[in-house]
Amino acid sequence: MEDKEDFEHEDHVGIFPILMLYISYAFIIFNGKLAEFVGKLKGERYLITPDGYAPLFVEFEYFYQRRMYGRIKDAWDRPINSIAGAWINVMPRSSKHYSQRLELTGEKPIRCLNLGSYNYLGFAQSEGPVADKVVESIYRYGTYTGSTSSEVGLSQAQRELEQLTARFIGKEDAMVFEMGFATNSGTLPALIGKGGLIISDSLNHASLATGCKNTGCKVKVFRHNDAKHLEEVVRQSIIEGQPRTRRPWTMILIIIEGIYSMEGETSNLPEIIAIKKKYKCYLYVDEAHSIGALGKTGRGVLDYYGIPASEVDIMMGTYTKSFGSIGGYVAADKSLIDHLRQSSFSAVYANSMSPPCAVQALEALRCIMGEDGTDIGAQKLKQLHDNSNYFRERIREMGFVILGNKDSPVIPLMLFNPAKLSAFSRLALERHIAVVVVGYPATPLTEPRTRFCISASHTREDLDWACEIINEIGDEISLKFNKNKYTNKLIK
Amino acid sequence: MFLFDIYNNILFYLKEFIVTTTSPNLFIHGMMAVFIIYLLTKRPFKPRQNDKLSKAEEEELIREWTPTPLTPKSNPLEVLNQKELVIQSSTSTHVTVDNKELLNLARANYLGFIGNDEINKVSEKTVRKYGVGSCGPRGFYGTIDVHLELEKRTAEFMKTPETVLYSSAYATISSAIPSFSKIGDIIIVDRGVSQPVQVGVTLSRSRIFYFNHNDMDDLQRVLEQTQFTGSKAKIVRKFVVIEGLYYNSGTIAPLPQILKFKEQYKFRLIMDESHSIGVLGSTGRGITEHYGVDVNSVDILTGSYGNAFGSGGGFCCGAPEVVYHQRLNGVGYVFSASLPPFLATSATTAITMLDEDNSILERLHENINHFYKGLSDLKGLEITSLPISPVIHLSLDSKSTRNNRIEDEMVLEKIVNKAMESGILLTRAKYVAAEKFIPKPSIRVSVNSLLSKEQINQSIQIIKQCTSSVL
Repeated sequence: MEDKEDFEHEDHVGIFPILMLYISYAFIIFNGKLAEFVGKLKGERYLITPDGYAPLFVEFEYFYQRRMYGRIKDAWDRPINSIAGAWINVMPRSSKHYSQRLELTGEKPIRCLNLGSYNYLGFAQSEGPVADKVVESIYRYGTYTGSTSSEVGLSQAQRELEQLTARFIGKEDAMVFEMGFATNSGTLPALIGKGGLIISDSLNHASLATGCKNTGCKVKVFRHNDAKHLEEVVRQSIIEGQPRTRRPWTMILIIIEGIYSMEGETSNLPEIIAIKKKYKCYLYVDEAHSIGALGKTGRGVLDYYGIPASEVDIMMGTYTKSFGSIGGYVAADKSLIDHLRQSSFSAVYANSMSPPCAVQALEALRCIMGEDGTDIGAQKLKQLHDNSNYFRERIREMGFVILGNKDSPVIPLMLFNPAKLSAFSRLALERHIAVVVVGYPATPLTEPRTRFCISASHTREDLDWACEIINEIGDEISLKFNKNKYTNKLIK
Repeated sequence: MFLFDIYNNILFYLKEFIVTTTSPNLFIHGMMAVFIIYLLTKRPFKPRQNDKLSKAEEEELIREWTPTPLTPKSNPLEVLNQKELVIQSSTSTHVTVDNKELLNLARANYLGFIGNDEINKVSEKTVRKYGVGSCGPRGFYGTIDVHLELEKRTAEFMKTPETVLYSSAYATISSAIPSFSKIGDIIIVDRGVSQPVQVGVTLSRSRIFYFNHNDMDDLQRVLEQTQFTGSKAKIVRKFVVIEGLYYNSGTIAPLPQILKFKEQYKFRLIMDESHSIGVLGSTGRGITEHYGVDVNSVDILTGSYGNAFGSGGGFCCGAPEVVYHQRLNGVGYVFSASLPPFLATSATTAITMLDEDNSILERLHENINHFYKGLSDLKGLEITSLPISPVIHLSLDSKSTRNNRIEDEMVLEKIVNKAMESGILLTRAKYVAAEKFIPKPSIRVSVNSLLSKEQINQSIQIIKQCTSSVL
């Protein structure tokens, strides 16, 4: 894509932020150890283990929890008491000491602009035709099925959702699971077994990593989005065969994501498909964040690149993000789905999708496809892309280091410092913006960031106002690493 | 002088040697000498170092490699399991399939909360306030006050210090185990555990030992075998994994005996109570109440809202540090969207309703009893589960079994189909063919508290008729 070049981020922010990062980590650890030492002198005991037992946690894990994460834990798990729409009510919490748990203060909630939830298309609604249908279904089915979809838990709503999803994506058949996480972790073991090889992108989501672990086959990793490295790994693997026995691999499965949730980047799909075809590998694309968000018609990353669905063997996605529901799907050829229905752990052992959730996803999907007879879905998609691009450009101009592609609703802003994680989050909350900050282990240790998720339900005024505040915060805690570079670029 | 003598002597002998030996002999000796020198100087045999494949050879290997198809040949069990039922609508006791109303004896709705009017109303109210999905994981604004309330309510109900909420029961146990047990640790597992527990055990990558289902002597043997002393005992964590009520067999764990072992052998106990919470014990607190032991003697206790409480999600309760640890390390908690708010409120309501009115639980216990008594003289099928379990496993007895899994399953399938024609919804217990310890084929009957005596009697009659007509 030509547009892609324009949005490629510059990695070189200079040595100084990185140096500061290591110094702050060293400082935090030193400080923590000192506090722990003083505590020990005072006679405090932290990891109390009964006699004869091994400690339940690794000591560093516990140290990390108490002394590192504990200091900034108020930036996460913030409870809300409203719908996760464009504006949310964040409930204030406090604690006497950072090592103690945060308790709700019971004060009036803070009304915040929500730049954190994955409500891309704004289907997190309590009113309107979708919600009405959901309420209707509660009385038709009850709240839950109490059985697996392979036994007696498959509701009519779920079946319709499966069929519509298959049609939307352009695959022969699809199947639906209760939970997006379980979709990946339970389905991968049914796809590939002993003697197979999984080649996974280095930044794949934890659910994919869990699924890979569960297959029991060899997993190799290629550098994030690097098609050349992928080709090298594939070639080498085919030539060398399985370790020790040297038998040829039974199959090779490449696993990538549509939009990487922590990078905001779309995958390098055209090149990866070329490699997949050349070397007869199979391709699994996790579209958890891209389905319903990317592409003119919302069909995800394939739509974005204009690639037909037949080029990808297994398409997976979730209903949590764009559809305002929960659960996930796998779409593929009919024969494969028939096989998965009987062999995916999540289909046979996890309960089926709660019918009202299936109805929410179904009605949202109808709306996106325009099958409800309105153009609300198309408008939402357009609004989302406009919002994302507008917001991305605005904050990029301010000189922040931004990752991600055009149209992607996920916009990470690099902070490069663990202390700035909490600072950014707290300052934003003070000014009534709810943002998500991410650090280790969800990102590499050296790349703490804040992540904005744009929604179609944000108005232009909302975003303008947010940009102003982010600008202020950026100056206050000096985050504009790209400032000089960007202005230089403009002059050129 | 002396040196000169030696020199002369050597010269003499050399001359003698050359003169006296004939020329062919000399030639042979010469050849031998050359050969010896060759043998001595020759490099020892080594394969050629430089046997890298040429580009062409690499290309050939790549061209020749053909993967197996992504869809494997389906095995007979899969083919048999392919039949699907689509539920068109359901009430708390009945399910409509193919426009026909069937009495539900297959869905786990033990206390009848699915389709309960009050719960439906609460769900509607929640949807009208919070929408359906929470649009994010717990860490990123996916924590809604109703989640906190459910966690608090569950902890109160279970009488444990704290509770952590997962958005799927399947992910609960399979995340809880690997968040504690790591490489190098020891896990001792009952062979009768269901697949989600098995997944958790596999994911931990610890050293796994199995003991025979509910066999305490075997457990003791394994515990003896894995007993360490000295410094190793201080590093290696040891877990015993059991289920409260085994879903695959309808039996319960001998908890008091296991707790005795726990004191003796110093391991930590992980127990999945997905099917015993809300069912066992006089107030539904599960197997610990059934045996009258302290719930906090179980280190890590997981459960599900999906079976007795008619809602989605699972929970893990225990000491504050156990719960807090999972909020950072439980993969199914950290990396998954949180439970839809309406499922959280319906679970909270269900727990409150059970606490306020114990009679539903008593009715469940009566119904289970009644069912067992009625089925005890069933011919051809035997009950393999215990008379306190809400899941009743009916499998072919020794006379009617074909000693072939597929044929047995086919017979059971026929019984199930016949029963559906007569108006009751039954199901075979379905398993993935790849499961490690696949249980005996069986029909799984789920009893609930809403069944009336007549309905139970009628169902027993139907099951008997269908069985005798098929066998």
